[in-house]
Formats: sequence, structure tokens, C-alpha cells
Amino acid sequence: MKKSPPVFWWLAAALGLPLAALLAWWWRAWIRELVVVPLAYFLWLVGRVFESLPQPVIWGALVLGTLLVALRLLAGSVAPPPTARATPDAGGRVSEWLRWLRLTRRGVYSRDGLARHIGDTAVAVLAYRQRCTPGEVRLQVREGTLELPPPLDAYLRAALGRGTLRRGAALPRLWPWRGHRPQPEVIGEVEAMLDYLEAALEADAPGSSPQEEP
Amino acid sequence: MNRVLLAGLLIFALLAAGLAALDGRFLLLLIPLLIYVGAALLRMPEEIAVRAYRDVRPLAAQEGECITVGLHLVNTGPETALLEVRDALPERLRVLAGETEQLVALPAGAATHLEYVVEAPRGSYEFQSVLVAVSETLGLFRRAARLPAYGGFSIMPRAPRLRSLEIRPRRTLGFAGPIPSRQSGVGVDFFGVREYQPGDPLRRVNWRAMARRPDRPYTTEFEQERTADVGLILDVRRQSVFEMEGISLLEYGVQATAALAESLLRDGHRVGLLLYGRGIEWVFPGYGRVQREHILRALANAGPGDSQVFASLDFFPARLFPPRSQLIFISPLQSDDLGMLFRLRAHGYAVLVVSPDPVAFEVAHLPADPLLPVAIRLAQLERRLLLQQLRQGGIAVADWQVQRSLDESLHATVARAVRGGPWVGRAP
Repeated sequence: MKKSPPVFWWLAAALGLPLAALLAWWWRAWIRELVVVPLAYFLWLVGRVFESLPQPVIWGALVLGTLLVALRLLAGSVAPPPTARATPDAGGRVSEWLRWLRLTRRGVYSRDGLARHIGDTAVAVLAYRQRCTPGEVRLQVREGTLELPPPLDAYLRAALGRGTLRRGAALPRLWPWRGHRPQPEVIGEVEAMLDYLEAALEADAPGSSPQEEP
Repeated sequence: MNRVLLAGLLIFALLAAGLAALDGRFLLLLIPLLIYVGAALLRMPEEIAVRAYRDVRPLAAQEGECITVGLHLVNTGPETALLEVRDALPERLRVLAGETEQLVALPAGAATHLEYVVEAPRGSYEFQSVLVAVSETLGLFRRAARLPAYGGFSIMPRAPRLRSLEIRPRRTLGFAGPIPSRQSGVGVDFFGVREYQPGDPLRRVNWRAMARRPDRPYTTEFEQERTADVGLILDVRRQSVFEMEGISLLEYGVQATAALAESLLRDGHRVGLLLYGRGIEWVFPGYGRVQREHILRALANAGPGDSQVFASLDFFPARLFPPRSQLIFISPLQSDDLGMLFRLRAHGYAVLVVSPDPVAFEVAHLPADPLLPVAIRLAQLERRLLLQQLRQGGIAVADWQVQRSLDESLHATVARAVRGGPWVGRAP
């Protein structure tokens, strides 16, 4: 703990202030000549300058300043001060999928991104179903030897970078006022793929085969 | 307004007025103020002659229980001290009763006592100091300091009571316990029949077998039941234990680990604990109540870990656990955890995974959204795939919906495994 010396304050109060007062009293004429008189002259000069200015100029400047402040306030472009916000939740896989699904509103590129993610999951499910590695499933998809429903095939090809989900004319995509709601066919396709993959997992669940029943 | 500032401004204003007006009477007005300030300076104590002691009881409690904190202050100086005491509380403490601040005039040698009751979530808490301010009687000057007053307590997780868990590791220990050891000896379950040997107690003679073959007597054998080594591994990797609305999935893992430790120790097993994700935080295996205390204290300090080394299970220190023992991995699971879990099983460990469901946990805290059902199905598909791969590899998985009872989930897993044939959590 740092100790402040009370003796210093005592000396300052007891000696410093009376000494300063004594010196000021002793040199009062000099202080008057050096400080008080120049200050009085300066204030008098400012007053003279103000009185010499034309009144319309002063009032004009005042009105102009008021207008500027009013316009600035009415424009509403002043950013509010930042408020303290809690750290947003990072979330888990549901939040991650939700983010990808929401991004499909933005366009085909985001839909391709969603397709890649779903394709990776689909490859893992198919690899588990066929008891092979994901690399082997990818090879079968590339060669076209895997019989899959059309939307899943398209998504798997997009996941492998061999295709895209782009369809339709380019003009509607360039239309600036196109809808920003999720494309219904995207959700429909994802649900159809989920039905297929869930059925594949269900059929292959441990204990679901007849020979494992007691 | 600060009194010192006010007195200083008054002194300055009077001095300036006196100088400006060239009038000495203004300076005369300064004298009372100067006396006031001077007297306050003279009365100001040179040091804070106060000692502080802290009394915390109990030193360890379970979640929901209260802790009483007492703070004793003794004036060791020669004069009465006007004390302003404010206790510096660790974060996350909630004061239920009593006051953490006090203003008291303490005569020389006298003591004062401050007591309050707090409640806190799981964790370890340490008190370091207390804020004490001493002012002179005129109230002009004030001297503040942090006086050391150490103390601390731990809030341990509350563990729900579990029924005995049927584990079947390949290697058992030499002490009597609940695990059938596939050897005859002292036990209650029928193991077999052998020829009577001199010295066998008569009450073990199998009279039915002797009636069928009266030429020689037979003795009934019982199966020995023993204890085992169990390693609990709690996953504290940050990417595994995310938070939603301030609630962490880790809390459920901690709760499950505490419950498992209590149940296994009650059955007589030797239990160790590894917190994986922040470093090697290891509780050496042991038995009984003391070990339970060690494990709960380690769990009290468990928090998410950001270690890049332990971001995956690739550097899992399997050698900490005795060969062919039972491992229980408490984790929400990640897709790249499969490899190490399969390797552990291949090395002879019996592996059981207790997995708090992160999908159900997350969905409970997410706002309604038209796309949410599809997102949930996608996440559930990934998780189902992961769990099925584990089960296919012979690892028992308790998929724990955190809103439901852990005991039900665990015993449903064991029952399903038994129904499906050999106990899937057992070693190969």
C-alpha cells in the first residue's frame, strides 16, 4: 500500500498558501500591470469588435447555425451510441443447418453451399449403409453406378463439385426485386432427401434386422 | 460534491478575489478554511491499522446449498477509526441474507463482524481481499486500501441417484463387487456343479445331483463377483459443450459424471476421472467416500477447454487407464470422435458412451422459425448416423435427452443391449 505523506500537505497548507498570499500582496502593482490591465483591455476590445459588426451579419450567422443543427437532427443519420449486448450464442448443429437453410434466400451460390453440406452427410449415410468408405461412395456417384432419387443425385454431384443446382433463365436471377423468401422447391427437395436418408438409416439400425431379434 | 474540492475552490476563489480587488479582507476569510483543512490533515491517520480475517463455512457444499461468510475486522491502531468496509465478492455469487458493506466507528483494539449468506452455481470461489476506507472525523480526507482476507469454498455438482450399472469389463479386481467374474468362488449366482472335495461345506452339497448319481456326492459352485477399474472421461472441449442462453451443455455432462461416479463408487469399483479438453486434468483412481470427494471437487472446477492439442480425441491418453478396464465417455460427441473410440475398444477396453443430446438441448432454446423443423431433421440425421456407427462398432451408447432422467436412459441402453444379444458395451 502506497502511503501519501500528510506532512507535505500540512506544509503546503500552512506555509504555501500564506506565502503565496503575502507575495501577491507585495507584488500587487506588478500583477495589476501584467494581468489585470491587459485582460481588461482584451475584454474591452472584444466588446468593441462585436459592437462594430453589422447586426444583420450576426443574426444571419445565428439563424444559419440553427438551421444547420435542425437539418442535421431531422436527417436522423446520427448513429445511436452502441449499447452493451450479450455475446450471441454460438449454437450447435441445428443453428448451423438453420443458417445454411436461411442463406438459400440469397441465391444459387448459397444453395450450392447447402447442397455440399447435405451431400457430405448423404455420402456418410450411404457409406455406412453399404459398409464402405466415403471415398468409394463418391467414386460410385461420379461413375453414376449408384441408383439414387433425382434430387439426392443432384445434391451429391454438387457436393462432389461435379454439378450445380442452377436452373432456369438467368434473367429472373438478375431481376433486382426478386423474392427473398426461401425457394419452396429447395425445402421440398431437402425434405425428400431427408425421407430417403432417414429410411436408409432406419433400415440399417442395429436390432432392426430379423436375425438380431431375440 | 467532494468536500476537498469544494474547500479548494473556496480557497482559490477567495484568494483570486483578494488579488483582483486588492483587498486584504478576502484573505482574512481564508483563515477558517485553512484551519479546517489543516485540522483534517492533522487528524488523518497515517496508515490503515486494521486487520481482517475471514471465516467461510462450510468449505464445500452442493449446488443449491448456502454458504455463510463471516468477516472479522480488528482495529490495531491507537485511535478510533471511522471505517467503511465493503467486501469484494467473487463473480456469480448471490447474496441471500446479510450485508456485504458496513460503516462503523471502531475504537482502538475493538473488533467488528460482518456476516452474510451466499448462494452460487457450481465452481470454486476465492476471496482475496476486503475494501476498507478510513476517514478522519471531519470527513474531508479518506484513505482506502484492499486488505488481504483470504478464504474460499467449492460448490460441487448435485448428482442424481442412479441404480447400479451393469458393467462387464474383461479385467476385474480382486475384491468382492457386483461384476460376475466367470470364476467359481464366493457369490450368490449359480455357476456350476463339481465333484465333492473334502472340506466343502455340507450346505453346498447338491442333493438333487447326488440323487441322480448316488455313487458320488456333488457340490454346487457359485460365481465370484468382483469390482473393476472404471475410468470416467468427461468431454470439456469447447466445441462440444456450447452454450444456449447462458446455459451450457457441460452442466449436464458434469451432472451425469457425478451421478455415475457416485453409483460406481457405491458398488465398490475403483473409479478415476479425466477431464478431456483443457489439458490433462486427472483424478487418480480410488475407492470410497474420499475418492467421491476428490471427483466432485474436480468436477466443481470443470470448465470448457480451448486447447488446440485436445480439440480432437487423437491425443487421448489411453495409458492412464488400466488395460481392459471399463471406460465411460461422457460427451455430446463429434463426428471425428469415432476413430479413437473404436481404437479403445480394439485395445480391449469396454467402452460405454453417455451422450447428452445436443440437438434436443439446442432446440429447447431456439426461437420458432419456419425452417427449424428441417434443420432439426438434418441435425438429428447426423446424430443418428453417429450413434448407429458407434453401436455397430460394439460400443454401447446412452442417448440422454437432457430433459429426461439419466437413470432411465442408462438402463434403457443396457436393457436394449442385453435384449440384442451379448452386452454390447463389453470388451471384444
